[in-house]
Amino acid sequence: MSHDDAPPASRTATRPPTPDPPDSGPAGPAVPGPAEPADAPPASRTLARVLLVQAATMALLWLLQARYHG
Amino acid sequence: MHPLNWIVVAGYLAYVVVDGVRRAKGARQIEGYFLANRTLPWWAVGLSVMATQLSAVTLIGTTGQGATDGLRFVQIYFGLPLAMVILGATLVPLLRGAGVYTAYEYLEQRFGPGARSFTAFLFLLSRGAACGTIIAAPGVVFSAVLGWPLEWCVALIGVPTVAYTMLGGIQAVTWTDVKQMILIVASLATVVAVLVAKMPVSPDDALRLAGAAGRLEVFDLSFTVTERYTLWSGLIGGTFLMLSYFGTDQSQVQRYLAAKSVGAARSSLLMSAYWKIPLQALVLLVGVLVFVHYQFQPQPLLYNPAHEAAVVQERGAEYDALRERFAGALAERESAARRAAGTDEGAAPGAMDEFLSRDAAVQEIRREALGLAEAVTGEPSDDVNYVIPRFVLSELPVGLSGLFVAAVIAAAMSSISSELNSLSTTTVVDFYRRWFRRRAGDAHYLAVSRWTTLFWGAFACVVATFIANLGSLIEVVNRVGSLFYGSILGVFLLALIPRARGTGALAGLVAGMGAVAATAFFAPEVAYLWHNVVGAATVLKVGLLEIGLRAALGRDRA
Repeated sequence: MSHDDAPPASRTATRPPTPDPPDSGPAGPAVPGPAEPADAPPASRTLARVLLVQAATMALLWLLQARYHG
Repeated sequence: MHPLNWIVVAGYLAYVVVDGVRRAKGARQIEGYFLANRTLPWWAVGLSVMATQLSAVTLIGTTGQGATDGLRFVQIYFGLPLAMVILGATLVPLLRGAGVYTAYEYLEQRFGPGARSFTAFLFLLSRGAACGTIIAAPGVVFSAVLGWPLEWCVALIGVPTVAYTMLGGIQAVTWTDVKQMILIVASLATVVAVLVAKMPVSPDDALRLAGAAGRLEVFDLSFTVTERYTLWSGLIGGTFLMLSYFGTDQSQVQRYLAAKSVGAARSSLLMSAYWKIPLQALVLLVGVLVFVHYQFQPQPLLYNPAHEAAVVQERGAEYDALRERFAGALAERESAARRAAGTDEGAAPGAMDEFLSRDAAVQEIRREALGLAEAVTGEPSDDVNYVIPRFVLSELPVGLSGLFVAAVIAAAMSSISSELNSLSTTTVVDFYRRWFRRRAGDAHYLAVSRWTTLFWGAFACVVATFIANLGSLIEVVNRVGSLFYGSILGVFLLALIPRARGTGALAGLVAGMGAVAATAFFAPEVAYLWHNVVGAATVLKVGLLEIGLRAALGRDRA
């Protein structure tokens, strides 16, 4: 589990209004704000773990259906 | 309802309001009111996300669906885990990094003010109306079951919710959601325990009966776009639906923007990835067990008490005759169920078939009664939403039924409060502060936020009282909302492509909504889960086409 307890940057003061971009919008994705430490496991490992749990859940439901299907 | 049940409900309501108001201390600035100063722990955000999605409709309607249709509905959630992982890797860090209050604010940074205002407007339009339906659905059921005027039931749910949301902001919403989620799961687990304890046959036999009646069929492997719930519509269409809902709907996005870090935001989404399918299966299982329960206990001929009273008054003799036949059919079905449950299928090969034929006879008489109710009242007589309330109030022990009613109110409140908070955020941040009052102090924005929360709460309650009397409009509102979801997701997906621009995004959004509307109009047989795929794919196609055109014309600066 991630533990990022760094206090967030204070935003209690009035934030400056968002500047008007050109009509067609700026090129490229927005520049990220203050960096937050990304201490989560890699997405591939998370994906594998989630899919494993989902496969187990679906297998249980499949067994329930197969065992009691009329 | 028994006085003890009312004490439980009143105690819960009083606690929620007092606790919510207490949270107002943490909402003295706009960042605290809307984003809890980005300090919420992952587990609180995760439970809040799940509580928001689990509305009273889920507790009443989905359990009822379990009783009448079985577990098939759970397939709609099969795409959710994958969607959560995709969002955790893409949109979550993007939106957090952009330092925004709303998802639509990010679209301005990326595509300009037009894309932001348009998507924010679509959100207000669909969610404002949907919020009314979230109150209306349980309001109608409570009104019929308790015999109260609809307005009182709407007020019972709406007033306390508006009060704590208005005063406490997202702090109150999230921490109340946490407690409400615990109450909901605890009451569901208790109902399952009571049902199993009261069952005159073993759990294994109960499941055999449910399975024979088709209530335990989960998977439909057919690949047909006209079938509403299949494995494939769940895995593909469901993934797009969940990406849209959790990735672009402010009521969800605001939860993880309030988490204390990117990691905490991801973890909160992963909680849904791990627990949503088992939770929905539990909700449906309650309905399945209620179905089995009524094989051994006399079930109502009509579950909607208001319809039953109307039929008794208008066509009493006809209804009495139906009731007599129904009682006989129930007795025969119960005997058949006991034989089928108590004997080995090998020893009595026809027992299960006999049970099924007796069940079909019961359903036939029910259909006649429903037809009678429709003729008398002039309203749709489908009573799936009344199965669980009738069961809870007539079969559960005193106190426990009060707990379940409190859980239904909690489910409604947790969804409504999140919607109100996000509607207020979008109104203030994406419209008021963006277009009308760009430089003002926090105190001013905070006051405006509280008033807009009150406005949206009042709007939702008024919509709820009107929409409830118009019946099928609830479905219309839901369908209109589904026209936007996939297309808005398409705009966010386009934002991940560096060369995409505002012109392509706006053109894509309009084209996507048009494509979904055309699909819904010209091919109404296509199941709604696929609409999200159509919308997102169309926006992407148009956006990519615009990039290609710009490159061909030599106007690409990238």
